[in-house]
Parts: sequence; structure tokens; C-alpha cells
Amino acid sequence: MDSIVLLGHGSHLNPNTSATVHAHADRMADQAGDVHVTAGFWKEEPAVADVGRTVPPGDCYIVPVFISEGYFTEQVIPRELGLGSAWPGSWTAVDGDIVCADRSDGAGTWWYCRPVGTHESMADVIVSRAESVTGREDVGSGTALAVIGHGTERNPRSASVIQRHAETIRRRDRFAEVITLFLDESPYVADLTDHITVDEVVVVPLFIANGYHTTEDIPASLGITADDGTWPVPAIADGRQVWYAGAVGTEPLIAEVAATLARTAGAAIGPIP
Amino acid sequence: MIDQQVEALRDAARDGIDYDGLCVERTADGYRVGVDDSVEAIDGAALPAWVERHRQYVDNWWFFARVVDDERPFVVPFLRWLERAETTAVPARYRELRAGITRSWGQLRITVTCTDGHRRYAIVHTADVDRDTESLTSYDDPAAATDLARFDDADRYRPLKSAPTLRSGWAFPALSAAEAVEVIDRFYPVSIANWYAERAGDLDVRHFRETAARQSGIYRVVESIPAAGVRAITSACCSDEMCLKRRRWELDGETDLDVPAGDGRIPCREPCSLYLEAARTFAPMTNEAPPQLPDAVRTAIVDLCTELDEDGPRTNRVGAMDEPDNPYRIRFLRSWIAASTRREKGVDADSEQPDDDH
Repeated sequence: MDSIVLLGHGSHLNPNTSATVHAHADRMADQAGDVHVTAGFWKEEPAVADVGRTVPPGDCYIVPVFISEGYFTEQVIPRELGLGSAWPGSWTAVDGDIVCADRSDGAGTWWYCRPVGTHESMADVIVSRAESVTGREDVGSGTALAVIGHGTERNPRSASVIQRHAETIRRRDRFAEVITLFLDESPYVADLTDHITVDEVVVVPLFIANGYHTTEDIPASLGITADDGTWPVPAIADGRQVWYAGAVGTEPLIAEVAATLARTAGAAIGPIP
Repeated sequence: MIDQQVEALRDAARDGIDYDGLCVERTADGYRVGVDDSVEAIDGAALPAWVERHRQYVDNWWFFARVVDDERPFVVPFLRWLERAETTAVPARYRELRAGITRSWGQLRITVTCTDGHRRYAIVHTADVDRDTESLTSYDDPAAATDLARFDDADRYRPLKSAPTLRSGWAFPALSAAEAVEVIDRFYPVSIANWYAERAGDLDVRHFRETAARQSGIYRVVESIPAAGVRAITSACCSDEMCLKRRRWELDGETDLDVPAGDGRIPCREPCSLYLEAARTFAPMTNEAPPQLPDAVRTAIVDLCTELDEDGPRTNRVGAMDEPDNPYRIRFLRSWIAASTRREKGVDADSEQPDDDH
């Protein structure tokens, strides 16, 4: 029997981190027929090291609900699955970006997909988020789009995935400007208005769940936080109208991105409405 | 349903059925059938009537062998455990199932009933057993269990699902077997699989040193914690007041931690993420000998920590180990300071050489 496991970071402090992943897994389970869909976490239960024993024997499609490839997807998850932390180590490359390995419990095959955040359809998810936060299906003309990433000097792929999605959207000529900003590297979030020339901007952070970064750090850097810690939508910062969207990972469409990754690897799961 | 059961019985009889006292075997001119060792030979046409006379035996086989359709090896043994199938014969069990058979699992009370051949599973919080079901909020979607497990009664986030802080006031009054397994697994992830593995003598226990050795990044520091420190952290995190699992892992394959393992039914096979978070936060303190304090001061600190612990968490962030009023931190300090008392009195001999196990 096939199974799909969404693997997330989880948190000891923030309930939203795993709630977001559970919500996507439940959305997928509703459309999965005989495919068993479940979630696992690095910092919560079920632990990544334990998920194998909760799914039936057979092909198991693992979809990391992370934004970019890096430490977690290439070291922590493979190691916790019992396959060692060398990358690609015992994984065998198959078509596209899928790798597979014998399940460490001997019960079938792990099909390990790219992280959700790297899939090309994330560009559509970002645009969809811009539409829903502004309530305008045609948002774009005269409006800038700022895609925000964490960024880190330690992993250039953290920023490059954001730049790639921004470039995809830019080529569509829909928004007046499409820019990328980061928390931990230049260009910084706090400098938003230095990088746009129009009066209205939609800000979409490419984060999986709402937590410290998306509910405190970024709104404060944008200068839109009100006294009670919330922010108006839209807000005014530096004379510009700012539509701040919150973490894109909570967008229901993410379940379809995860399903697409699993489907491409061979899982029999239909489209997620 | 009886037609389906007869059909399934005919089908399975080719390989022979021997299940909880029910025996059915295909023979050249019919069937050899029996319940509880009273075997008789009947022809094929007589099978439906025979099934009708032994409904409970057939139904029992039908349910576990056909209705429960789950390839995961722990599902059927767990459902059988819920209704004490290993120890109660079919007629007595079906009698008990009319009123319901109840089992505990962590803070859950699960009651199986069977009327007209349909098993139903009701799950409530142990604290709500005597409450009128009407006063509880009812759910039928198993996914609701994930939301119920997220916050305690004081709306504090529960980073550890096996903490004895499950909120009360809800009920899943009528679940199918598959839904019941899902609900239990959402409240206590992987608990059934590990219970089954332990029962089968197959639980892959990972001791502290093994788990510590595979950590990386910010968790690598846990490798350097001396035995006495591991003991204090374990006593802070793993006792029944903090976690309902029963610890199966020790310091390493040869050295026991000499800390109560807990009484729970659900086995804990390796230090969990929250434990590692505590360990990495408290590690710097464990690398130094506990402070040499006058007895009176030590007693006062231990008493204070005990009082704070008994008062319950004062913070909404039970996972924030670095905050002064964190419950794990308070319990760790108490264990660590108390360990220094034991050390001086020579009770805890091996912790005098904190690095001896490296």
C-alpha cells in the first residue's frame, strides 16, 4: 500500500508550525483514496525517526515541507530515516529530482521528493496569496510584489529559491516590479521602500508557517506593527500602501504542491481542490 | 451481512480457518466445522445455517480478518487488546461487549461495544469518564484529535503529546475501528506501533549515548553531558509527572540510569526532541560539578523547586528551557542540586567522576 509522509520542522514553542503541516496532510488525505497520508516532524511527534513504523509496508513518498534544500533536507531527515547523513549517500537518483532508497525497516521503498518550497508551482502560490490578501484577482498593474525569504550566508540555496520564484513571476509581466528581500542577508526587509518605485506593494514571505519571523520580525522591519502587535491590512509604511500576506506556507494550494511532488514520484493521489 | 460472511468463510476455508475457537476447513464433500473443539462435518448447503447458529464466532473472525483492512502489523493486535481478545473467549467477550469493554491508553479511556455485529469505539479523557456525555463536546472526525492535543486546559501549547496535560471536555462517541486507531495515534503518535513492537520483543531501543552521538548542529553538545547530568535531566523530563511514556532507554547498553522509568503502557524507545532540547540547554551546567553549598541552602533550593514544580507551570512556553520559570528547568535544578547532596554522602558513587563514561 502506498503512503505519503509530509515532513515538517515542528516547534517546541510555536503551535502553528506543525498545525500548518497537519492541515495540508489532512487536505491531501481527503483526496488520497487508498493512499495513507500522514505527517512527521523534527521537533514534534511523530518524530521523523518514527514515521516509517506508522505507515503501511510498500512505497512511501516523503515530501519535506521546507522552503529550500539544505541542512534539514540533506542531513537531518535522511539521518533520522536511518540512512546516514551523507548526501546523497545511499540514495539513488531516479527521474527528475527524486531519489529513492530501501526503507530502513525493510518494508519497501522511500521515495524522497524535493522540498515543497522549491517546486516551480510555488510561483503560482505566491501570486494566489497576493490575490487573496488584496482581494483583487487582477492585482498587479501599478503594484509591486516583494517576495521575502530567510536567507542565510551559510546556505546560498536559501536565497536562490526565492530569487528563482521571483524571476518566474517577473517574466509574466504582471506586477509593476518584483523584488526579493531577506532577513539575514542583503537586500534586507527593512529597506523595502528603497527598492520599489510604485506606491503600492504586496509583501509575501516564503515561510512555511506563521511564527516569530512572519508575525513579529518582518512586520517590525517593515514598520507596520501597531501598538497591540498586529498590523493593518493594508498598512501604510513610508508613504506606501503595504499589503502584508503572512506566511505563504499556510496557503491551501501548498497541499496541491506537495501532492504534485508525490505524484511525480509515483504516488496515486488525485488533484487537491 | 451473513451472506457476505458465508462467502468469505467458504473462500478462506480452502486454507483452513482456526481463529479464537472457530475452525472451518474445506473437505472433499463439504466442510469440517467447529467451535471450541466440537467438530462436525457438514455439506456445503448446510454452511449458512451453521453460520447462523454460531454467529458470534463467525462475526469475530469476520471482523478481525476481513472488516479491519489495514496492512500495518499493529492494528489487529491492538484492536484485539482493546477488547481483551487474548484472554476472554468469544461468548463471554460478546456478552461483555454489549455493555462495553473499557481500556486506558495514556489519558484516554476507550470503550468498545458490539451490538448487532457492529463494533463501535468511544473515546473520552480519563477525567471525563463519570461525566454525562451530553456535557462533553462531541467529535466524529479523527482529525479533530490533532487540534485537541495541541493545547492543554489552560490553553498552553503542548510540545510533548505524551505529557499528562491532555485537555478534557470532549468525546469521540462512535468511531469505527479504523477511526479509533487514527484518533489514538493522533493523541499519542506512534504509541500503538511501539507498544506492538515491544510486545513482540522487537522494540528498537536507542540509548542516550547512541542518540546523542548522531546529533548535529546545536544538539551536538549533548554528547558531552556526563552520566550524572544525564541522570538529572532524565529525572527532570521523563518521570510520570512530565511524560506518560515508560522509558526503555538507559545511559547506554550497559549502564542503567537508576531513575524511575515511569509506569505507562506506552514505551519510549529513545530520548525525544524535547528531551534533547532540555539536554542541550542544561548541558553547560552539567559539565561543572554541582555547587558546594551548605546543607541548609541546598535544602532550601530543593524545597523551593519542589514547591514551584507542584504549583504547575507559570509559563505558557513549556518548551522554552532557557527561561527561568520553565518547569523542566526547575525540575532539572532540583535534581542537580539534590545530586550534589547524594554525591557528598557517597550515595551516588559513580557521579564523583563525571567523565568516566566518555
